[in-house]
Amino acid sequence: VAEQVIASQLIAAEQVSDDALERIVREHARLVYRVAYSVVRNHHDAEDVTQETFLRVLRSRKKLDAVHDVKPWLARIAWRIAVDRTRKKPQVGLGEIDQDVDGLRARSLTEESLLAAEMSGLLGRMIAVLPSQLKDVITLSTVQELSPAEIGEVLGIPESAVRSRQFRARQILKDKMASLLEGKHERNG
Amino acid sequence: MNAMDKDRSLDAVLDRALAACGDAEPRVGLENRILASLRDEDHRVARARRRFLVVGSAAAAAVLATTLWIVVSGTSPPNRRTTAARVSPAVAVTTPQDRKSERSIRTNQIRRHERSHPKSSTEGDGLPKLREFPSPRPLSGQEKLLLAYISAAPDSEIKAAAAEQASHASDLQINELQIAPLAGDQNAYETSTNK
Repeated sequence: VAEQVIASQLIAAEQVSDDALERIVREHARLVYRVAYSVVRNHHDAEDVTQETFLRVLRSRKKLDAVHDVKPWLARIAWRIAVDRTRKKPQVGLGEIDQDVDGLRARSLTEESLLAAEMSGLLGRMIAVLPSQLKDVITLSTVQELSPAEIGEVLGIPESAVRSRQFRARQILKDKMASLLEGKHERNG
Repeated sequence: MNAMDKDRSLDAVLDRALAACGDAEPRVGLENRILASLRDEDHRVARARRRFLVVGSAAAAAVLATTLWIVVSGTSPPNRRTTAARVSPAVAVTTPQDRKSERSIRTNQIRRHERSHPKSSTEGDGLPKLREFPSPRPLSGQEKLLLAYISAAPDSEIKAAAAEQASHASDLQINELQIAPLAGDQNAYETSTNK
């Protein structure tokens, strides 16, 4: 009888954690996907990372009760998986970025949307070659759902450090973009 | 355009570009796909757990059966007290009481061993160890009486008895058989001889 009671309690607990897990998936799948995408820059890989994140959550669902804030916890798991995945791929060199900038200057871009798409791709490559401390912060700051405090929780650093690194990263990116835009103005003039 | 305006416009461009970078929308049905894969994983884990339980219980049953078989077949592990008695005598100071208790322990061991390993009925029959065969046995009552008679009786009587015994032992003499013909046959015989 005691075994049956324990078994029924376990089944009930598992049912509760299943329900909690489903709720978490429905609420946070998009956030996890965006965190993954911010790192891997690829829809297919981002979905794989999202699946892997929730599989890890499933394996440690008994710890769900101990997690006080699910959002940064999930973002942290997704971040680690995505970073591990990108480590296996070859890194982009600074020389390639300069070639991209030159190529963008040479083209006659009339449509703003095309320019924005090109800029977005170029920005991704610029971010990829930033120093890792700055790169991590600026990458996570592209995910709109995450506040600086939550980014700090994901990376394990204080919020003030997040803000200062974000500022420095933006400065570097702005310098690069200024050179790009100056080239475009000169070409149009 | 002064430097501040330029910086602001660059900020705006950068914000737009960063927003575009992070503005990734997953394909429709992402949540359902994730939940389906979680259910698959859950079932896979449950199957693996069931298989582990079955294999584990089978192994435990095999171990239990082996243990029972060993216990039943009588190969019990050595007694701890016996082991201590075997190991320590070189070191221990032996008093008369100790010696007595040791002797009783050994006796008990031997008895226990004999009880657990009874001698089979065929043990010792394998090799002919006796010098005489058949083995000497005590005389029966009749043999004793015969010996008493021989020692008390006179020689003449013994000789007569021996002669009688010898006559019994000699070959039987059987006379030659003579068969007389029957009456009817007698007449026929006579006529044929007369002719």
